[in-house]
Amino acid sequence: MRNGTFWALAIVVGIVLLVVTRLVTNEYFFFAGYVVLQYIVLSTAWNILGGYTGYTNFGTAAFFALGAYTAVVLHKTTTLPIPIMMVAGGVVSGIVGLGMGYLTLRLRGVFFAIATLAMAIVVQTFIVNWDYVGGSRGIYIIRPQQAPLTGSYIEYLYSIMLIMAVISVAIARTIERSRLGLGFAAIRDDELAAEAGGVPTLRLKLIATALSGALMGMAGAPLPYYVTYLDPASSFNLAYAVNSVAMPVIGGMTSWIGPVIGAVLLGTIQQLATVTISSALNLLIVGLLLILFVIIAPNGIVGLVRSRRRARSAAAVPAPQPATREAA
Amino acid sequence: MSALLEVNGLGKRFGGFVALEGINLAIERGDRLGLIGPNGSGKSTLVNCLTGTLRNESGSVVFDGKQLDGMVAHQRTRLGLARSFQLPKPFHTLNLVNNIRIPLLYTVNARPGTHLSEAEAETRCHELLGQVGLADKAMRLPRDLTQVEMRKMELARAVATQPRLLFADEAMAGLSPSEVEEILAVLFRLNEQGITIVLIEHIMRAVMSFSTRLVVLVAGQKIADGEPQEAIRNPQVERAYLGE
Amino acid sequence: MIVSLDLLMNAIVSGLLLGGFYAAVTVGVTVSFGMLDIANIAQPAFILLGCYAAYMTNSALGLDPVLTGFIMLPVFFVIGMAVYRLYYFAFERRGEQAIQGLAFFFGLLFVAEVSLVLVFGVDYRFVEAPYIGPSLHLGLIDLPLRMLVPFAVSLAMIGVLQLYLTRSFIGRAILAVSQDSLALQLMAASPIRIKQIAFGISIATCALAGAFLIIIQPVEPSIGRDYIGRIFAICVLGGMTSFPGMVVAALLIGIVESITATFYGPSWAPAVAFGFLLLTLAVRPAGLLGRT
Repeated sequence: MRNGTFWALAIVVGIVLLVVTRLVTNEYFFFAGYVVLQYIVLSTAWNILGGYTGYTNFGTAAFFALGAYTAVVLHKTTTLPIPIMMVAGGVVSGIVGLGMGYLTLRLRGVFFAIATLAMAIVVQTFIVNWDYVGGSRGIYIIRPQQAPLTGSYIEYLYSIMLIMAVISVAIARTIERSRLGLGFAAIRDDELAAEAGGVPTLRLKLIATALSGALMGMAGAPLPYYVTYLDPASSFNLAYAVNSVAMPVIGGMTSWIGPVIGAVLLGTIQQLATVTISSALNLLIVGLLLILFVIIAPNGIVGLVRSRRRARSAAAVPAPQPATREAA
Repeated sequence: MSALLEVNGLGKRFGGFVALEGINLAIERGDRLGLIGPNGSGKSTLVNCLTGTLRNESGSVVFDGKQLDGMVAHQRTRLGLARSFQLPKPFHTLNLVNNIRIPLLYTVNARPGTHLSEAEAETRCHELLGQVGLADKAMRLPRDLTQVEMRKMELARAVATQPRLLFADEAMAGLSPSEVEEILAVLFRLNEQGITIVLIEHIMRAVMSFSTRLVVLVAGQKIADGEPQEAIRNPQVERAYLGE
Repeated sequence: MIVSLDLLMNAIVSGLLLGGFYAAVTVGVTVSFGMLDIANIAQPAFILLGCYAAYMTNSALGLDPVLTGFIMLPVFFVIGMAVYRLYYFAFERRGEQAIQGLAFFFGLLFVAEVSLVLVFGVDYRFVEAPYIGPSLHLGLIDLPLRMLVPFAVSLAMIGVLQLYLTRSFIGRAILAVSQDSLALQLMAASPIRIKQIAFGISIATCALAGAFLIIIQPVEPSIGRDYIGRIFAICVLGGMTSFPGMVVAALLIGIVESITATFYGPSWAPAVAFGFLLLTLAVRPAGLLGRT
C-alpha cells in the first residue's frame, strides 16, 4: 500500500486505540502498556540502524538515558509540556549519535558496535558524577497535579507513548519504501558496492545513527515522570540494552513489523513474568532467546513466516521488496 | 581536445610495499583500453585508486577536466566513472530490479537535470536488465543467478549509472569460451553506445580482440602502452609473462 | 591542586602494574579479534568466570587463586574451542553478516552476567592469599604485592604465548591463518582446526586474567562491562595483532587511568579507556606501532 495510505491507517489505528483505552479502568494496564509501547519505539529505532543499515548499536541505554536526563534538566529549570521535552531529548541524543558516528562510522561496523558499548558505560559515568541531576543517589520527579488530558497522569503518559509508537513505526515504514531505505539496504548488503554505485554511504550512515539515536532519546524523555524516581542504575538498566537488540532480532530485522512483534511479544511476556519470577531470571531468558534466534532463525519471526510462505507457493516468489510495485 | 582521463605520476603504497609507482596514463574518449599484467602487478589497485575505493598517496587524476583527488568513490561514480567488481558484489537481499535501481537512483537522479520519475526509473531498470538478457529474472534474488548471469548483472549495475568511462574488472574470469563471448558482446555494444571502456583481463584472446590500445602493468609499473600487437611484442612484456 | 611528587610517582607505578594486568586481560582479544577477526565482545564474561572459579576454590579449599588460574587453563581452553565450534557452525560457515555474530557474543556476555547474579548474587566477592595486603617499599614507592604478582605472572604468560606463536608449528600456523587463510589450506593444514585452537587459547587466557582480577580487587558480576572499552581500546591502540604493541598500549592506559583516578577520582576510569578508543579509531586505526 502507498505511504500516504499507511500513515492515514496508522493514525486511524492510533486514534482508535486511544479511544478504546478510555474504556480501560485498570491502572496497571497503563503502567504495563507504557513499557511495551516504549519498547516498540526503542526496537523500531534500533532497527533503523541495525536491521536496515546493518550497524549494530549496543548503547541503546545511553541514548535512552540521555533523553531521560535531558527531561530532568528541563524539569529543574523550566516547566515545559512533555512533548516539547521529548523533542529536546531527541535533539540531544541525535547530536550525540551524530558525533559518535562521525568518529567511528568510517571504519568497519565492528568498531562502531564496540564504541557504542563503551559509550554506554561512559555516559553512565558522566551522569553518576553529575550532582545536578542527582548523581548516583538519583533524583525525585514530582508529577504535575493535573494531567493535561482527562484521566490519570499515567494514562496521559501512556497516550503519549502510543502516539510516539505510531509515529516511529510510520517513519520506519516510510523509510523502507523510500530511496533512503534502498540506500540503507545497499549499505547493509555490500557497503563497498553501494559506495561504488553512487550511494553516499557515510552520509546515510550518519542519518541512520542520528535518527535512531533521536528516536531513542524521545522515548526516554517521559521516563522520569513514569518512574518518579530516576537513578543511573535504573535508567541504564541492563534490560534496555538487551531488549532493544533481542526484540528486533527475534521479531525480524528486515521489516518495520519485526520490532513491533518482538516488542509486543517479549515486552508482554516480561511484564507478566516480573510478577512471577525474578527480574534477573526474566532477563536471562531473554538473553538465551536472543542467542537461540540468532543461531537458528537469524531473520526472526518475520523471516520464519516468510520462508514458510515462500515454500508453500509453487514458483519462487521472493519476499516483499521495498520500493516495488508489489502489494505489501 | 584533452583526454577523458589523465593520470599523472600515480603512486600507492601499502605500508612498506609499493603497489603502484609513477603511473602515467591518458585515456581518450571512445577508447577500448585493455589493461593486462601478471597477478599482483597492481591492476586492481590501479582501478581502486582511479575509482576512489582506495586513496593514492601521490600523483593526480583528472577526469574530463575535473580534478578527482580527494573525491570519494560515490562522487566519482556520479561524475561518470563506473566500475564493475572482479568478484560480483550484489545486494543479496534485494531482487535484480532493486540491484539496478539503487545505482540508478543514486547517480542519475543525483545529477542536475536528469531526474527520472518512479515509473521512468522502473522502466529503465527492466530495460537495462533486458540489455544483458536478464529481463525474465528481474524479480529473482542474486543467489538464483548463474556465474555468468551474475557478471552480467554487475555490468548492468555499472551501466545504470550512465557512465562515460567504465572499468570492467576481470568480468570474464572463470567463464567458458561461449560465456566470454557473451560478455564481450555486451562490452562491444556499450562501447558503440559511446562508453569508453577499460578492460582488465587475463584472457588474452578476449583482450586482443577487444582492445584498440593495450597497457601492460608489471610490479606496479607501466611497461608498455600502445598498439596491442606492438605492446605484446615488447621484450619486457614477454619476459614478464614467460620468465627469463 | 598541588601535585606532590610521591603521589604522582606512586600513581605512575601502580599504573604500570595495572597495565601489566590489563595486558593479560587483552591478550585473548588480540588473538581472537586481531588475528582471527572475531569480535568477541564476551571476553569480559569469560574473565569473570575465571574470577568466580578462583573465588570458589579459594573459599572452599583455600587454593591460591593463581594456582586455580593455571589449573583452569585446560578447562577454559576446551570451553573456548566449543564456543568457536558453535560460532563457526552458526555464522562463519554461512558467511552471515557481522551483526549476527556480534549479537551472539552480546547475548553470551549478557547471559553470563545475569547467570552470575543468579548464582552468586550482587555482593562483592574476594579471595584471600598471603600476598594480598603486604607491599614492598622502595623509597617513596609502594609496590602492593597484590598488584605485583599479577603483573609478573601476566607478563610471563604473554611472553610464553609470544614464544609459542613464533616458534611452535601450530603457533606459526595461527599467525599464518591470520594473514592468509587460503595459503594455509594449500599447506594442508586445516584453517578451522587452527582457528579453533587459537580461539581456545584466547579463552584460556581468561582463566588466569580472571584470577588476577579477583586478586587485585573484589568482584561482582557487573564489573565486566567496564572492561569492554578497555580491552578493545588496548587492542586497537596496540595495533591489533602485535603483542609488544598491546603491552605498551596496556601500560599506557594503565598509567593514564591511575593518574586520573588519583587526582580526579576513580569513577572516571572507564572514560579514560573510551577516550583512548575513540581517539585511536578516529585518528590512527593502525595503532601505536603501525601495523593494521
